[in-house]
Order: sequence, then C-alpha cells, then structure tokens
Amino acid sequence: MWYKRKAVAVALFLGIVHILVTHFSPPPLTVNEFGRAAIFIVVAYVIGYVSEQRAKGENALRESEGKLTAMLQSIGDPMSMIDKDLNIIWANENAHKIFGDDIVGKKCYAVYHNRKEPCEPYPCFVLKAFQDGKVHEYDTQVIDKDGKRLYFQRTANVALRDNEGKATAVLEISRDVTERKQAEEKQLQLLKELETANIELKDFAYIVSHDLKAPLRAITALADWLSTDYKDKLDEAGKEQLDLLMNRVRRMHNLIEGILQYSRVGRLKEEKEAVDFNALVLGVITMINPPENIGISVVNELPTVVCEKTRMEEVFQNLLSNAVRYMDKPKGEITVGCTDEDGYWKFSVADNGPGIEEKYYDKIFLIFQSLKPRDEVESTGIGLTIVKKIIETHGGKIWVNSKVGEGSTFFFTVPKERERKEIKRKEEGGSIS
Amino acid sequence: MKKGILLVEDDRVDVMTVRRALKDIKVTNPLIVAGNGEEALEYLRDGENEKPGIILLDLRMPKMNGLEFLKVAKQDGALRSIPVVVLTTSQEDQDKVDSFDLGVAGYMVKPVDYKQFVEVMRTIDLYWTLSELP
Repeated sequence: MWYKRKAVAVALFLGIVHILVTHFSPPPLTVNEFGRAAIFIVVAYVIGYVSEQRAKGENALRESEGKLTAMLQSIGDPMSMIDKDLNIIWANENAHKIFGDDIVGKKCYAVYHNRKEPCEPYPCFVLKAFQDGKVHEYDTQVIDKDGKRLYFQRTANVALRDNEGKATAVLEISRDVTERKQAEEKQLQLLKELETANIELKDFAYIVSHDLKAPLRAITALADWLSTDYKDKLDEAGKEQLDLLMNRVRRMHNLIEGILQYSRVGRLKEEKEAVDFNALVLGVITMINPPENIGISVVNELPTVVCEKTRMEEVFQNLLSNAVRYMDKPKGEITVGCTDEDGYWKFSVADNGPGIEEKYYDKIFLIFQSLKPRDEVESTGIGLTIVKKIIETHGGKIWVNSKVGEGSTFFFTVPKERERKEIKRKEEGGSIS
Repeated sequence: MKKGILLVEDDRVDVMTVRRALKDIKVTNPLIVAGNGEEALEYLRDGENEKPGIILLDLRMPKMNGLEFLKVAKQDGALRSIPVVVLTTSQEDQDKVDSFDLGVAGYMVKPVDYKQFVEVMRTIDLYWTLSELP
C-alpha cells in the first residue's frame, strides 16, 4: 500500500512543478505565486513522508503481530481471549485441541465448565480482571471435549483496552496440572486410609483387651466355683478336667495378652534416652530372680546406648527368661556380652541349655511358635517375636547360633545413633502400658 | 443399717463374682446392681433410695459406659462426693488417665483368676474401711 501513496505524492509533486513551469513562465513568477507553489511542494512532501512513515510502522506492527500470534499459537499451554460478555474471541491451537475446533464465539463457561450460567462464585476471575485490571491466579477444574475432567492452574489478565483505556478482552493462560493433582489426591487418599487403619488397629487392640478377656474371666470364675462348690460331688477325673479347663483359659488369656504386647511394639513409642546397659541387664536379672543352679553373668563392660529403655528391658527379659526356662543342665550358665562393631553394638546372650536345631533358627522368631509342647513348658511363643520386632524397629538384626545339646547364643545388633539423640518420637493418641 | 454398695456392671458372671467375693471376705453391706450408667443414675437420683457408700464401676457397658457415667455424676453436686472405684478389664493407660481425671478414688483391673479377684475386693474393702469419707 505504502508505495502507492508514495507514487501519488511523487506524481503530485511532479504535477505541481510541471504546472508551475508550463503555465506560469513566462511571464516570470510573482513572489505570491512562488510562495504558493512552495507551500504546495512542502505539503505534498509532508504527505509523502507521513504516509511512508506510517506504512513503515504498519509493516513493523504487522510483523510483530505475526510473530506474536505464531508464538501464542504454538505455546503448549492452552490460552484464550475472552470479552466482557464472556465470549471466547480467540483461542490458541492447544486450547482448540483440548476443547474443540469451534470454541471461538461460544461462552467460556459453556466451553470450559459445561455450564449454562456463569461460574460460581460470581463474579468469576475473568470478570474480576475486567473490574480491577489486576492479574488473577487460580486453580480450576475444566471438562475437555471428551468429557474428561482436567485440573488447570490459570492466570487471567487484561489483554486489550479501548481508546479510553477500558478493558475489552481478558487473556486466560492455563497450565494442565491434572497429573500432579491426581498424584496429590492419591497421596491424600492413602494418608487417610493409613489413618483409618491406625485407628482401627487401636480400636482392635481395645476390643481384644476388653471384649475377648471378659468371657474368659467369666469361664475361669465359673470353673473355679464349680470345683469349690461341688467338691464332694466331683470325682478325680472331673476335678482334673476342670483344672485343665482353667489352665486352657489361662493360656488363652496369655495369648491375648501376647497379641496386645506385640501390637504395642511399634504402635507405642517411648522417648529414646541414653541407657546404661550394665544397669539395665542387672535390673532384669534381679527381676527374673533365677534359681540357684542357674548363674547369669555379664562377661564384659556393656555400653551406654541411646534407645527406648523399656523395650530393651523387654528384649533382655525375654532372652534371659527363655534361657532360664529351657535350661536342662544341672548347672546352668548364662552369659551376656557385647562387642563394638563398625557402626553398631553386637550383644550376645549365651546359654548352655538344650540348643536349637538349625532348621528351627527362623521358626523360633515367628509368632506363637514354640518348640516344646505347651503342656511341658507353659509359653505363648510370643517372646522372641516381640524381641525381633523391637530389635528391628531399632534398626538392628537378631539371629541365633546353636549346637544341639550344648547351648545357644542369641546375637542382636543395636546401631550407634548418637546423632539422633534429640529425636523425639511420639505417637498421637498412644499410651504406654 | 450399713450403707449400700452400688455395683454398675452389665456382665452377670461379673456380678456373681463380686457378690461371691464380698461374701468370701465377709462384707455384709447390701449390694445394689445397675446394668449400665443410665440405670445407675436413675437409682442414685431416686429420692426413695438411700445413697450408697461406694460405687464400683465397670467401664465397658452398653447405653452409658463408665466414663460417660462419671462425667455426669461428677457434675452432680449430690453425687460428686460418693467415692467411685473403677473395676475393669482395661489396662490401657488412657482409660486410667481419663478415670482419674474424672475424680475416681481407685482403679482396679479385674484379674482372670477368681482368687486374685477376691484379693482385689479385699483391698477395696480395706481402703473403704480405713479411708475417712465425708
């Protein structure tokens, strides 16, 4: 276009010169006439210059507009321009791909949210941007052309203004965060399920301790009264049966207690503290009060370790009382020792008892497993399971070495974790029994 | 006449156990039994009935459990001063804390063995006999 204007201007200029030369000479030009011609020339030149500059500007504008459109079109984020009446007046390629080819001219709430009315709460962020001219950022759920729900993170900002500076179009730039959002939701869901499971576990322990124990108590009481009140009417066999009945009830009771104890490890955590194992082991030995033919000795200086004290007492209590309970030699010898290994302490509890066959090395740590018939040695088989759980929750390992007929040695490790001294682990709603 | 003992307990065998144990330790005070917290409140608030000297309270009961009963009873000026001893299977610390928060005089765990239960009752009797009450 610009060259046309320039041509016109040049033609005009030449025309004027031509007229001036042919019609007004001779006679020679008056000053007045000369001045008028000069004005013509200047005007024509100015017209030419202005139109050229304008053409140059329009060209640059068109060029940058083209660049901008290409850029917006090819940007991966869906974008659209929305007018005051919430009509989509422009959309980039990605928006078309997600919402359809025919979205321009339709209402934004119909296209993005499948609604008949503008979105709630009213005014929406686009309208707010129209009102205050500020940038609005928000999360929204949209529905794509196939009806699939997507999560968008959006910015709405005024893009076009009229001559008076009033906003005429708002540009919405969206980012599809569906995957991240879904992952977040899944995580939240899992967390909720875990919480429920924890509460259920707590309830379960409560139910076990209350509701299962109550009928057991009733059975022992009734059996006890039967054997006292009907002493004269019962013969030896009857009495024996009642005794066995009470014994089994007690066993059942111990099993329930065992499950409860086991569930408390890990469920209830006590604060870790620096524990002097010399004092701890001595305390446990006093508590066990071994018979005179069995000696328990500590063979070397034991360390001070940061750990849960009561749990560690449970470990030694179980290991030492097992060694005492199963002792089959006339003179029992039980020793406790510890060696300093790289990064952890290795404790040992050794006895000269009956020993354990190698094929049972793993089985003894399983819940309710006992190698002796229960009528011979009254035991629930929960002790070593609890010990293993305690050691493992402390980050250690436990294993056994044994020679049948000569004795067994239980080894367990406790990591040296001085740096974690300050960590306080508490569980909500927990209680220590 | 000796003051009564109010036993709030829903399990029939447990009621028999308490009755029998009281007999064994030769406590002859009348035993009144309420099956749950609501029944106990009903009895206590009936002007016709004499207030018991002690309440033995189970925690796990239908309708109104022991802790719920305590919440109501300790708000009631006429009932607040009656000593309550919890008699329960629960060894959960939370139950103990909650009970003492609600002003119980004692917390006894019901043993499985009847003979031990008799000892528990003996202890309660001793406490009740020795302790000065308002």
